[in-house]
Amino acid sequence: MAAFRITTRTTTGGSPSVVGKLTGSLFFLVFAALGLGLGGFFAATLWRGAASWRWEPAQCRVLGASVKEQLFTLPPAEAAATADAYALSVTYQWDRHGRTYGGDHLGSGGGYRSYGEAAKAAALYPPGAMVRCYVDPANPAAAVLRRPALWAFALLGVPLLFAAFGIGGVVTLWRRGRRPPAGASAPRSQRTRKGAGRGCAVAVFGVFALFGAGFMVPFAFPLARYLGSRDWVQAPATIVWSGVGAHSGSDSTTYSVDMLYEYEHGGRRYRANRYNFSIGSSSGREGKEAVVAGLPAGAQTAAWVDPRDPSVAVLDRTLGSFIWFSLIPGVFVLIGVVGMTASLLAGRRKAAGLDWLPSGAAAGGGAASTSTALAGGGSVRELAAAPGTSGALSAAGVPAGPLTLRPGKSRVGSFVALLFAALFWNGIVSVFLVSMRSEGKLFHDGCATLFLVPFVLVGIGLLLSVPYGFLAMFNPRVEVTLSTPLGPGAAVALAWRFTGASGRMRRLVLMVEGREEATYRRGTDTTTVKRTFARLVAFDSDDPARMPQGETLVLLPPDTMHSFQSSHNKVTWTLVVHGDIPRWPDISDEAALTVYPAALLAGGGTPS
Amino acid sequence: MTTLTVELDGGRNAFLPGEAVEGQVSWDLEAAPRSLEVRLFWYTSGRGDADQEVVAVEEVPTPAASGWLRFSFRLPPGPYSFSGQLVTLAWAVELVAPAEGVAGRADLVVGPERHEVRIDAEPPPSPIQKTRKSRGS
Repeated sequence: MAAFRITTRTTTGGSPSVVGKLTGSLFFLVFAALGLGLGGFFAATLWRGAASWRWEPAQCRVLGASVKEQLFTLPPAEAAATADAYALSVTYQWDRHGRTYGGDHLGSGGGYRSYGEAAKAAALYPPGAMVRCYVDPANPAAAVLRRPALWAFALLGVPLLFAAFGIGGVVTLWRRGRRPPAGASAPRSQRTRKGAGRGCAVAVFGVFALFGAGFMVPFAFPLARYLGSRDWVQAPATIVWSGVGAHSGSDSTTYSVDMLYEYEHGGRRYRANRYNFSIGSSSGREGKEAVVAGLPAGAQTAAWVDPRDPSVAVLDRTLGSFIWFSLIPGVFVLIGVVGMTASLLAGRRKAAGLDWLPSGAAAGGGAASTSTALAGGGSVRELAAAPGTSGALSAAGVPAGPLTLRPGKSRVGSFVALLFAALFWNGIVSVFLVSMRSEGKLFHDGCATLFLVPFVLVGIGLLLSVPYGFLAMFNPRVEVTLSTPLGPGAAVALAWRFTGASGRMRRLVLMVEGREEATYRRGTDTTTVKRTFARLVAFDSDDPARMPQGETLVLLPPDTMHSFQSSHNKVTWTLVVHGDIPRWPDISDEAALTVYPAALLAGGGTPS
Repeated sequence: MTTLTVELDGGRNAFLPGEAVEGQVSWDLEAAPRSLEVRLFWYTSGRGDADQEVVAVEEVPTPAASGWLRFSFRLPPGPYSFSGQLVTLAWAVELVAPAEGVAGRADLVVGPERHEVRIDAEPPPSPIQKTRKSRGS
């Protein structure tokens, strides 16, 4: 059966006021105008650039093809900076309306970084060959051999996406607000296309991953070149010209090492202008100036030469520390891939019609998808489902017992995170304190000193919690097992076992709590309120002999609520383990439990 | 006068999970609607932003300006109808003309014993708090 979920911002399903609609419309119209404006500009530019696609195909006879070595012919300063070290030159002729025309316009491309690439392109135009060309029907004297690639038109999708978002927003806003006629009410239910939300999430995360991958390209090329240069050979080289190139952008200027050098290989003289494997330019002028100062014109050095295409060479083939910056877009790629995977997995649960059960409860994903999506904070440790602890899932997606819970989050990890937070916070605060002290404002400028007090207090609190977290690392660890999944009115055996110095505990409490949770937005603030509605103490003893391990029954009331989650509302069940240790941080663990509706535990399926 | 009504068989409005919800919808509109749907859905209300999920849909084929149709839905195993201090969840069957933005609705209760689950009572105090108090005293 199809399932559709919608979240509305109002509790009554009402529509926004006219002022709200106008404000919303303004917001969406800005998007639409921006998208349409930019889209129109791009489209016009691309249309002009793609003029040769509207020209007529014809046959041209090649008169000659050659490779121009620009690095020998251009002025040294220009040659050092050009990206097209080798240029393809083709002369050809064609007949039109009884007349013969001649030309040498390639139409697209024609510049190459290596002689090998350019020679390969020239081989496509042997003298005397008939090749496809394109003639301007309005001017038969104009022709090209190549037409520009059309992939750039795909970029139009970005501004058009903005425009669609803006127009769609305005339409939705005003459609939603229509007043129903007398005798009827506005619909409370809203239906969306099946899988639309999931598709949208996958698309958003996909864009994230693509952006990340796009920003990784400047790092990927140098890396690939570096890996491919392992068998390159060294050759003596002479610097012909060197300098720092400045490239002015819209908001900053970037710099590059521009270098022209000459070397010999296989008895032939070559020139190259690549200093290292990085592409483009970057900020930081001083570093580049130092390189140039070390390699002035006339200096003797060594070049790394590609023996397969000796026109390709580089002076410095190390990657440099800049490669570590690739980790930044790498994070985007990671978020995108993880997000897409999670969205697709969530779609599987939605397809089963059980997405109101907490995540992982009925995903049908094997043993790890037991009733243990776990939460904790501060000194509360998280527990996680132990892989391979439970058997297969039933047809209804309910895991078969027993279910084992073990600490999932390393206490060492929690301590390190706490330590990092304390050092980070206090590091920043101390910068301000030292600065105020050096300016003589500390304790003298009352207002500024008072402003810093809460920040200092938070820092002290964090520092004091560090030893607490350190000691908590050595607390006994608990492993809890449920004989079967929990359900209202179903008795379940709960067994526990401590490892470590459990004899230090003075009292142990195991209890199950039911909580309701509501999240709402007011303006830009999102608030979540929680309330405990049920509390069942499964074990409470100060008998040292009973604490290290034991078993008890958990019986939830038959008329209580099962676990439930939607976007903003939840009913959760939690196992609380509290061990009281004198003069030491207490054990305070929590594990989220999934309580299944009776019909699911009885093997009931999804509706048809 | 535009009217859309949903009537459940026998005037019954409380069901067990997995039971069939059957009844009849009728409508009388000024013009034939572009489409007409009978939807089984749940929705939340309370302190949090409202959520809803349409669980099943029956589309009325080529609807005229007025008419009637019998429907039948099989209820899923959950969620139950429940009422707390922060969150309430209810079920309903709705007849909707989406393009015209009009609807008629019948609320129903889905739960064990055909009752709404009440979670609005206060729980007993936590023994952990007692432990902390006794240590502090």
